[in-house]
Amino acid sequence: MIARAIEKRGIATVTVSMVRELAEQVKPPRTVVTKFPFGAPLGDPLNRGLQEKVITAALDLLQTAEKPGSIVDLPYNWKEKIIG
Amino acid sequence: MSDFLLKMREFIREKWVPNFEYVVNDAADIPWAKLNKRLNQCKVAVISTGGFYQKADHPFDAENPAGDPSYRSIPKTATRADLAIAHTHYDHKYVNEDLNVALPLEIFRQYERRGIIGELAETNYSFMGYIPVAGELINTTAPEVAERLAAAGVDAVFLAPT
Repeated sequence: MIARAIEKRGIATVTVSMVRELAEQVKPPRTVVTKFPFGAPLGDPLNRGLQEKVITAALDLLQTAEKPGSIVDLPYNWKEKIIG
Repeated sequence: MSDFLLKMREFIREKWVPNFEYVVNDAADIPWAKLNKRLNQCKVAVISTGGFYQKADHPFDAENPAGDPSYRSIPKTATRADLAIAHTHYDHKYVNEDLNVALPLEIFRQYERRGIIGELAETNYSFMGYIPVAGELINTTAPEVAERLAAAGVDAVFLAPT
């Protein structure tokens, strides 16, 4: 809802969500979905590699999404070790 | 609707807001602003719903059953030690260990240094994500933040839930 208000004002937004169905109902302009617990939408503590993967995916969608309401599921797992 | 959302709705109705219903928006009506600069030229702001506020600021009303639709400014330099949390609907243990899991200012500060983004906005924002009665959020406080972001020349916003 916050993203929609900001986008209406002409500023591009990307939203991370942990509940795909809520994103489907609320319809932010661009959404990436993670499978992580409430309280840690971007990944487990100190797992910088994973957090950056999530943020990078979100920033990619910000730049490349063609369709308003795009929702992308991210495949990453909690505590996943990201190499490189 | 999934079991999870049905159960959550029942819980909210029973405990806090008897006539709670989810917001469902129209697919034909999704706001859309294309990013018309390269990311490394963009001023980017970060928004969290984690109920963060600077210690000198007034806390969110975390006990209110109808929620609290207000927002707080979070400076780009903020660390976990600079902030307090007023939000009773998520476990704070993860952000207490690493603020980046929900309010990734440190990561975005690094992105600025590395030239991945043009810059991180001086002022970022936190809301308190328990807002079952969403009218004031939709009509007043979120548009206010949008106006402030526009006035600050922000090109793009990254939003994370809790």
